[in-house]
Amino acid sequence: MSIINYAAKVINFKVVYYGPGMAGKTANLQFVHRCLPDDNRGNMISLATGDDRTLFFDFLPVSATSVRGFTTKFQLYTVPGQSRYNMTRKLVLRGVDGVVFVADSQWDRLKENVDSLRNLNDNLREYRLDLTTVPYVVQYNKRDLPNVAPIDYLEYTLNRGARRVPAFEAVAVTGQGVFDTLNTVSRMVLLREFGQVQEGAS
Amino acid sequence: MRWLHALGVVVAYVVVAAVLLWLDVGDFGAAPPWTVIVAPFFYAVLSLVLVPRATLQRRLRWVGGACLTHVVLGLAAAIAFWALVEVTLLSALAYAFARLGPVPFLTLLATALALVPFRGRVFSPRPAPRVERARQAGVATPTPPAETPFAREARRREGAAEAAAETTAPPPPMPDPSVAAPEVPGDDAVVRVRFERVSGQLPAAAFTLPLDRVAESLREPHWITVPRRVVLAQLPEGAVQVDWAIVASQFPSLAFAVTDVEFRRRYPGLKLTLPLDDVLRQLPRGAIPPSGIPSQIAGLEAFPAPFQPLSVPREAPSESAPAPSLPPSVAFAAPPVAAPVLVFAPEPPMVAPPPPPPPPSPVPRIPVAAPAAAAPRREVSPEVVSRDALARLAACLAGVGTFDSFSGVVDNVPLVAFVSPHVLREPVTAAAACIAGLLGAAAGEQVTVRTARAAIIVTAAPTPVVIAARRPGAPVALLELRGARAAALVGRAGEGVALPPRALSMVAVEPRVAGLAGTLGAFGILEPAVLTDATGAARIYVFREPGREAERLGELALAVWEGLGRARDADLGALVSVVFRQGRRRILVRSLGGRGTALLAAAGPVARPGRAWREADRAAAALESR
Repeated sequence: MSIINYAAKVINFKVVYYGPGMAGKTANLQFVHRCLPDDNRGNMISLATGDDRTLFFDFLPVSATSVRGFTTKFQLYTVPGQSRYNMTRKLVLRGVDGVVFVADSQWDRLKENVDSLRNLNDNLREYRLDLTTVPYVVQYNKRDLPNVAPIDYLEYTLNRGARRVPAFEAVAVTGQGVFDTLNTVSRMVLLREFGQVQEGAS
Repeated sequence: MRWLHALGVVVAYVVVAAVLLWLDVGDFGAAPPWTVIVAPFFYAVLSLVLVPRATLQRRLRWVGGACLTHVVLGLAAAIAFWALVEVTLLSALAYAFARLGPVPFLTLLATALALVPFRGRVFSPRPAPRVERARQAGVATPTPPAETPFAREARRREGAAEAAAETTAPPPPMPDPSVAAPEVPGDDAVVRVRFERVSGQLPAAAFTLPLDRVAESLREPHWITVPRRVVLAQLPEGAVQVDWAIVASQFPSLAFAVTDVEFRRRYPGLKLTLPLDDVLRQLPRGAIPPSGIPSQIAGLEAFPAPFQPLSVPREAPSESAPAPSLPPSVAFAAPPVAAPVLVFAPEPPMVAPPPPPPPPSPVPRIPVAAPAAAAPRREVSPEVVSRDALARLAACLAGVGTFDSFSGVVDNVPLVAFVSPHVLREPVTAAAACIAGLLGAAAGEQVTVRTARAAIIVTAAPTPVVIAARRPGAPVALLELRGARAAALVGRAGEGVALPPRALSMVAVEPRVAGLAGTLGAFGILEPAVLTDATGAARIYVFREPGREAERLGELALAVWEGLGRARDADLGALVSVVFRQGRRRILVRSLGGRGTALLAAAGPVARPGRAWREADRAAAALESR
């Protein structure tokens, strides 16, 4: 649910990077943070354990284009992927406008991907949302590793619902596919908010 | 092809039978009545030739199918007769089954010919589904072994020279999975998995031979076969697990150290997780249907890409920088997730003015607030085993549950830990570090700590391996086996350190306590002793084998209590028992209720650990009631 400040002409969107633990959600945000001009980015806040596992969430506010005279800002969040932190994931999903599902492409992580996607859908339902209505994209991360599953099979397990969403191959630590993913989900969010009319987009 | 072949046989049979009737050349008299009765026996004998390796159940099923085919062929011939000549249907049936002499024998022959192509299906663990032919490359063909290990054992006894030759024989070559092999006719209904890729999930103790030699005795040596429909049903889940019952029949019964019933009792719910890369390679092209729906991107072109990255990214933050000032005591803190909700409100102030311009500093990492800042500080160091080694150790736990891995040094003890997500890691590693020091010469190679809410298994190794799961419900015996296997990968443990001597003195054993020795039958014949420390505050009831020093057991029990039992851990719950394993010998220590320190220690060779644990539980209850 976007938040609009009519006085300041600012509209805020919330995009959540979801996925199993160690899939590369934080790496996505870190690369975005490193690559955006200073004017477009805020402070990135990470709450991690000693071994760099996300404990609560990562948060990165970024500003983007103007649409219909409104400055669009995106609040990028990640969730902790570990199964024990489901309450935190639910909380982070509240008011979400778009979701990036970051999947780990390695063979031995496929089951966790499926479980995490199921968990995402379950958590969205608590807010009366679901993956058929929320703008979301899938990112198949870690494609540089040798033991990765073919895209066909990943698509079969993670992107075969009634609605097929855009999917991207990525290597988040090097930035491959990171901005393709972010731009696509952002445009889907904008499309949902503003519809097909694009007057004012700049 | 099989069905075409069978259809061809049926058509040929009907035509020949009809010609015999039409030309009257088959009027050699009526066949004897036993030709009808003898058919099942004929097929039973025939099954010994056509399906020699099938189990009795599958053989009977094959004979039943043959009898049914026999009847169908006879009916087909009868219908043909009825259509060709003007006879009643009953007469036509009589001709087909008895009156036209050669036809019953022709039926026996045609049935056998029609069923020959289906021999392969008898070897499948389950009736295979009718699926399209796989033309997928990559199905490696197993090479049949020259002999089974059992035959090899017999031959080894016959001559030392041959035995020497046997031991120096090179292991069978591992097939290159990337090399395509021709499809084996009749095998398209199963998926083959190299046994070595799943053997790590099997309990080695349940087999009489090492698993690498069990591989040679499988029904298809070195391969496990799984019905393809079982695999296909699980493909959307991202993992394929098969129940033990599906593959059990492929193991020779002589390979098991325990009966089938005992095996299922010991390892309930045992599943094998198949390597998906191998599995997918063997599936037909249509098994993973491509989504016919295009991605929903219509309308996106109306909006320009909102974010344009810098052409050159900034330097990577803080990875190479000095480590953040992370308090060692909070490195593994896992506070309850619900508690800090108010601090990190789920709805951030999105309309608030943007934060001040960010400094060009790297991403700040906020250390976790320590919920137990007063907890004793524990030394934490970087990983003590490589990531690859950690992955290999984790593979030993495949199929047992979900675990978070950890490697590091806790209280100067290097550890590798696999902790269930339901159990907090820090108290587990702290308890494991405390108890690991007792392993070795004094107490054995493995220890299982049971608390009210967790089971912690520590196995001696240069870097001890710790597995922790939630109690009750944890498969402790299975975890002990897997822990031992994982520790074997790490290396051989040292001798350990001797326990510090303590001033323990023996006191008189009351008759009631002496009588309890007889109730601990699972430990064998035991002698009771009661020890107290110098202050008299601690009392240890020791039950040990005749001839063993009671003081050694008493020292160990006190060391356990001082390490684990005295400070009740809020996360793990009260200490229930500690069981050390020294080969077949078990040393069980548990605390007794009441004032002061009261402990029970029992030691002896144990064949049934569960019974021993229950008997010690009852003995403890009896002592507590004193």
